[in-house]
Amino acid sequence: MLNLLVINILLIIIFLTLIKKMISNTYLFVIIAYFSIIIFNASIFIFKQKFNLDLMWLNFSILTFLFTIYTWIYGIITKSVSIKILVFLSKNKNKYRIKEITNNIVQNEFDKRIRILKENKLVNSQKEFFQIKKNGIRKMNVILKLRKFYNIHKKNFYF
Amino acid sequence: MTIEIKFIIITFLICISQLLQLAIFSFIFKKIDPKTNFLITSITCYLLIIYFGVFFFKINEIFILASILILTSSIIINFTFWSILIWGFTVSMLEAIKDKKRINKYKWIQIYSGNKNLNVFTRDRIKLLLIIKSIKKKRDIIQINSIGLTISKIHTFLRKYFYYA
Repeated sequence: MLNLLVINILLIIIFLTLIKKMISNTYLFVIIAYFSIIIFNASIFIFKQKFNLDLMWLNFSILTFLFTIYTWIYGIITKSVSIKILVFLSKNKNKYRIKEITNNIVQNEFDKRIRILKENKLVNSQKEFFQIKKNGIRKMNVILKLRKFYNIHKKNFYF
Repeated sequence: MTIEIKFIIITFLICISQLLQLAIFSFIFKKIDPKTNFLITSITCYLLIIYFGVFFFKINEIFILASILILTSSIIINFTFWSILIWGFTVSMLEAIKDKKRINKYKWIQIYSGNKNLNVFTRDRIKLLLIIKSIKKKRDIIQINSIGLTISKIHTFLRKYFYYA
């Protein structure tokens, strides 16, 4: 058990240090690394012809857990506005007004999201005006149906 | 089929069932807070794993530990889906212009923030930083403290050495 765990950790380190530098898309990297290591583990069991279910299940669960945590943290550090505010505050350690934080971080994030919506063809922009596209309405309807299914009532962007 | 295989199948079914449990709880308790709902269903899933592992199948502890790890991974994935559905920034922005014909950015911000401005959103995010005690706030002035600096350093370290972002 311990041998395989050490091998898996070494494999993860190799993937992180070598492959990650080549693949800039973190989600694609996670999929490639996860399935490669799972296939490697499976081939060890087939090669040794020892089908210890306890060991296989534990190995699979540890790998799944590590990769989920890795992807989740990536989402937090790249998308979370709160973390971005904190990093901004830490740069000069100065005192800031709410308005300054809005102008430096939240406004940029808002613009970034508009860019994402435009890139995904959910929103149309002409000059300085924006309009939701049919594709955007369709996606929004799915979200609204899901919210109805889960009985989620939103008053504003937050509760 | 051995009990181990049965337990693995049940583990996956419990993981998937959280999404159904969320719907059932919100149907029974109409005004339940989504955070509370998620917390209750997560605890229910853990209890189900322990019940089936310890009392029903009386299986090896390693199996139960592995199933708990799989369930934790599943809860993280479900939470991501749940938080996008409720608090998603981009989703909420899209929702704000759903019924509007043509609007400019200023109007978009106004609808999004409920006839106010983006400072409302900043205040909301700052509330979260105050909960984890990473900043100090005096009236309208914000300053980072030692906890905040530590989190920021961890963030920089992870970004540099684990994500190369």
